[in-house]
Amino acid sequence: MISMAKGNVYAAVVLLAFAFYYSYESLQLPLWTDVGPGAGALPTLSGILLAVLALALLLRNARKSSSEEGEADFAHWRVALTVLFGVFLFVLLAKTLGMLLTILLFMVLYTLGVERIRWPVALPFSAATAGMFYLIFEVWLDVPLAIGVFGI
Amino acid sequence: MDVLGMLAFGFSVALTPTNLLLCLLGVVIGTVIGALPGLGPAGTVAMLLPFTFGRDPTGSMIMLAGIYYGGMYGGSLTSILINTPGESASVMTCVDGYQMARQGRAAVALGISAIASFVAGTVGVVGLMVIAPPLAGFAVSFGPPEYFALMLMGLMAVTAVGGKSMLKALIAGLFGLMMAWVGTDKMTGVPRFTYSQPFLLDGIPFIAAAMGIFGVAEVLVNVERKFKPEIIQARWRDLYPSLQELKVCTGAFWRGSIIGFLIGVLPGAGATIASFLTYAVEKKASKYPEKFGTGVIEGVAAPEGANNAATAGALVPLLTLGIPGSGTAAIMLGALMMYGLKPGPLLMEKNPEFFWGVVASMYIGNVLLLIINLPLVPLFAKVLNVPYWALGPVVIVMCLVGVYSLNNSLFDLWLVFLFSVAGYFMKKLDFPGPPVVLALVLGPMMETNMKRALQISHGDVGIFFFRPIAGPLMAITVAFLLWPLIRSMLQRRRGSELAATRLDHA
Repeated sequence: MISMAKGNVYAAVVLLAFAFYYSYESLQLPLWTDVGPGAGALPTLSGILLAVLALALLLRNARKSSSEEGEADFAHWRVALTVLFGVFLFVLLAKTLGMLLTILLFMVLYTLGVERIRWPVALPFSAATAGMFYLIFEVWLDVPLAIGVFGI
Repeated sequence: MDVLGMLAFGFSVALTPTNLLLCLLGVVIGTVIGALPGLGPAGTVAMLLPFTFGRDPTGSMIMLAGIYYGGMYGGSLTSILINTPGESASVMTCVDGYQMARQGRAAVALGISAIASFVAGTVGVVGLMVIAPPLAGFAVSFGPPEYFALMLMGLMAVTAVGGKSMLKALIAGLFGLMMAWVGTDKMTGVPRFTYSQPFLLDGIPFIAAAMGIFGVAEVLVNVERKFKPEIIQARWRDLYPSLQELKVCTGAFWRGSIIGFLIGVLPGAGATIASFLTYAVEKKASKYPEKFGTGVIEGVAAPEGANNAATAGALVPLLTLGIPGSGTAAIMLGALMMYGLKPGPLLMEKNPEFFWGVVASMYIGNVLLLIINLPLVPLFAKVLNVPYWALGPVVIVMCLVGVYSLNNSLFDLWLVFLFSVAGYFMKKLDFPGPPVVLALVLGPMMETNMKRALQISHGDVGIFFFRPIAGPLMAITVAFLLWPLIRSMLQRRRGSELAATRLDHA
């Protein structure tokens, strides 16, 4: 658990860094043209505004005591991180393994690894889900799903 | 043709077997998914959007609208049976609905909720039908400065009322705008933040952001909680409220319908505020306000009616001005553009079959909701038994495959991943999601209209402030921005007046 005030300070620092980077990149674009604002005008303005707001968030929370704004519930962040890692793997492997195999793998890892479901339940459920997606997208909606090295 | 003639035409469109089936599908899917805690209407509409791509726009929007208002009713199931709102607009239903359920009156609460949804939904569609044509006629005269001012006002309204902290909501909206500037600048053709990636030339697809923030991130938060609801068992034979109960709720039906619709029309306000406000009004109007919160039937009828009427209200600015008033409406606006339609005042004139077909389908949808919900509510309640270990991964896969299917682009999946990470932290730190998606949808249009307006005025920004329509809209925008300041000043003043009065008495 971390306090909301501390969480806000971290968020403000990340936003501030993002705002500076974004503003710097925007300034490389033309700000004004003969016919009015250029491609960089609004991005630059947005970047500066975000920096100001992030600074306000930082200053408002930096002086607060931990208990003032309650807790930001990150107690079970490892579970969320595991699922996010699963999503990352999904995106990474979709091209190589193909969409259907990736779905199957993701479902198996999720049900066995995150939810600790027994494999006699997890495996058929995962296979059925992959099959359902095949039927919905390939057969019903006629959407070709990515094919991987195994030809499926 | 007059309004009734156009409505008859709309019915001829909505009553075709395909559209009727899509309407039925929409309300059933909306109800079922609305009943699942942790997946709101925005996530549901975003998740099912790929199923409508490449199909007839009218039928597709009929289904999406059905999901939107079906989801509002579905939310009442979880509110009443497990004291967990399916979406924020159902929070007030928990207060008396759950108390009724604990007293063994869950079925009556669900029954009155279905009836209130039907009455208010129908009143809302009548309102939509009456207000939309003159509003669209008025908006035909809008030029780029008016559109820019209107979009800015809509965005500011969602931001001002969108979250617990206005500062965080402003940051969320600004972040959405910054994502919206990615891609080729439409006026000058200059690529921005594309890093030589051809995938980014067309910008960031709003659907990737919607799926990440409303879909995957929602699962990430729910999976942490190990959600295991305790479901109150209802006596389904008591589903139909008595005549006496219906009589008691008549006022609540009307107040919920009218307030809900009017609040729904305002950009940014939406179903959540409508239900909170209606509950407060109902309590004030009641002869026994002290009993509210202990299982009063009007306390269920009023907010449930309001949130359904608000969905019809939210379609007014969306269909007439092309301005979405909520996160869900923003996704629907994106859908309209994907279908190749141009939302705005000319939509009704250029695509009458679309506009009136959708309006007529909403009448049909409300009747279908009532017919389906009353006898089938025990079946829908079984949805609550679906374990989250099965639901969570399916939602994630649905989001990923859904986004992929729109452009057959694996790159879009990376965007979903990044928005999921952002969405997770946003939820944990109370940054609201709707302003991000709304800004992402409105951003490119806002920029184009702003640049066009400045071209017209030769760079004079006064064009936004000194025109009869744009000026007041900008003034409202500034008022939204300053509202927290004004509110705290008023509170301080009231506080000092109260202190002065006490001193006088002393």
